[in-house]
Amino acid sequence: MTFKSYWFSLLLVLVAALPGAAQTTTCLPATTQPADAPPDQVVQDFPAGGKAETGWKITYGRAVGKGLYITGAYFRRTPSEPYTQVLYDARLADIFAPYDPGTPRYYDLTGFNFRLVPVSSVDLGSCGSKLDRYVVKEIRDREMLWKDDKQGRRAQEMTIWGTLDASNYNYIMRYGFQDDGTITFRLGATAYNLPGHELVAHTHDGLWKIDMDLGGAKNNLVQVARHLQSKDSFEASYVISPFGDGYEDYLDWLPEEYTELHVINTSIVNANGNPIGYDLKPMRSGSPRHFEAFSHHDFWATVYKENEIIYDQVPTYVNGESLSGNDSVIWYQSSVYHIPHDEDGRYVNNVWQGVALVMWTGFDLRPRNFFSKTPLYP
Amino acid sequence: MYRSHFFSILLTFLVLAPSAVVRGQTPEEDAREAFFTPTAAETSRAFAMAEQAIQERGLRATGPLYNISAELHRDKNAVTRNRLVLVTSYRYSGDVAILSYVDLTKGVVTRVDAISHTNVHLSEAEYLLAKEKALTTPKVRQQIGEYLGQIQVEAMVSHAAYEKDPLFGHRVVRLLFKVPSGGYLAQPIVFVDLTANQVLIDPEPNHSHAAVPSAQKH
Repeated sequence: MTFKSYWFSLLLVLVAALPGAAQTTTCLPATTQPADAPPDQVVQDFPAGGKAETGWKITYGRAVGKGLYITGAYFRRTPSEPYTQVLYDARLADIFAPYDPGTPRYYDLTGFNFRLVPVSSVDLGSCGSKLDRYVVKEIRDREMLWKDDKQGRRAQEMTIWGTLDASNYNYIMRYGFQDDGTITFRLGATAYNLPGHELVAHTHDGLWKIDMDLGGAKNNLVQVARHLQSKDSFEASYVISPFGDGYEDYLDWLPEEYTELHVINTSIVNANGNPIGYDLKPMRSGSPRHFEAFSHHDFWATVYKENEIIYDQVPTYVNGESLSGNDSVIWYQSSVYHIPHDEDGRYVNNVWQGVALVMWTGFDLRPRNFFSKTPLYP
Repeated sequence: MYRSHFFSILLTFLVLAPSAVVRGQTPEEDAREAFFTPTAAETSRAFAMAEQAIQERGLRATGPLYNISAELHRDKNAVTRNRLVLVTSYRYSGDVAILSYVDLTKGVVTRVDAISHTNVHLSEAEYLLAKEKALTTPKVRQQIGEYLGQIQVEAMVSHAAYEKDPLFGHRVVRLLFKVPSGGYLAQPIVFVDLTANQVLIDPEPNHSHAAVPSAQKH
């Protein structure tokens, strides 16, 4: 070994030993979009860059005071089958931020004409791309989809996200479309604590409006799944029943019951004869209960109407209409409780310096009997 | 009449101006943007149609009424895919949001809903009014101090949920003062009650439900 090659080898060893040096980011390739695709449409097959097995076709929208939202989502289980509609529309209908003393109480979407922040190079990172001036798309590895001793498969997803500039606060609105048909909905709260109220605890309530049209708008049925258990018994069970006994109603999330909603299409079955469905699985650390009536319950289900679009009016939308055979809309609140702490920032000469790191809340929509076997499994 | 006509034109300009800025610079970008938001011409037309519909339905009343926003809208049950725009207006009298559903393709307003005491964006004109009122208030200027002239003023609508709150039903704007370094002034805490034409300064974060009404009036 020459003196020169010795030093080169030593340098390589040193570089490899640096923290994180072995972690290289693998950017996954995006599917080539159809030439005639409209600007609001995105198509992504999985595995990214490989022979397609599953795929998403989605459309999105954005507006002042609305942020980023989904205006259609279609999934296909195999490349040879047509896309099946999952969503007609899904969005944050509002973000409610009430402060513990009782005031202020801000509605960060309907109360303000907040805009999305233009995408920056920081947003894009090493693998992101711009869908447009305000929206980022990322195709990424999401660790393991399944594992069986030495076998396994890594999972992938496409996320699209944007950032709402809510004055002192920023809200990241992120939607993930995964290779197994799951959709993730996330709201991330970050940036400056409210000026003058920097040390006051508050919640950020994501108020979601989810209009699922699974296999189309007709024959969708919303169900409630509950886990029944008792400290006085070794046995447990579960029960699935129509939401509100089939009528517009509300429902509370109970941690002991693992409350979740199932949406099935009663007229479309998989190869096993089971109705195709999706589960709405909450991701939450608590339940907000405020003065405002809409916050008194975690789920609401109503019949679709063009003009029923405001979350704080939802209690007035529930008026006894039958959900059976009608096109249903689900309203769901998920929340983070922010108790300020030193990591949020500090006062420097009457100016608050520092930002709250991102706090996430949301929910997932996961397939139930949408496939007739384990997806993406040999 | 001349004065109110001029005022209406000014309001329309102020509402349209911000959205015009973010539109694309090329025809291709404009065409792309039209997938997400009404064009300036569509917004102007939708506002005019909404105003007429509000008048015809007897919802105009006296006092200020602002056209707040125009956004693309969809109706799942519509037979054809017409260009639909939802116009949101705010009427001070009664604290009423008026939602007008405009079908631009057919040239008709299909529905008008009036909703009391809900949340409505602030128009650019209202923002400028609130900003001017606050920044001409001596105590506000004094508390902003050395940052006066450097600050960026941001506005948030403050909503009173409790009917016995003296500010219930009022159009109240909280103003935030952002300094060039990126942080915000902790003080002053300024509210502008546009309904009562008053500037309110909170001495400190209040811990009672009726926090804002106890503020000093100027």
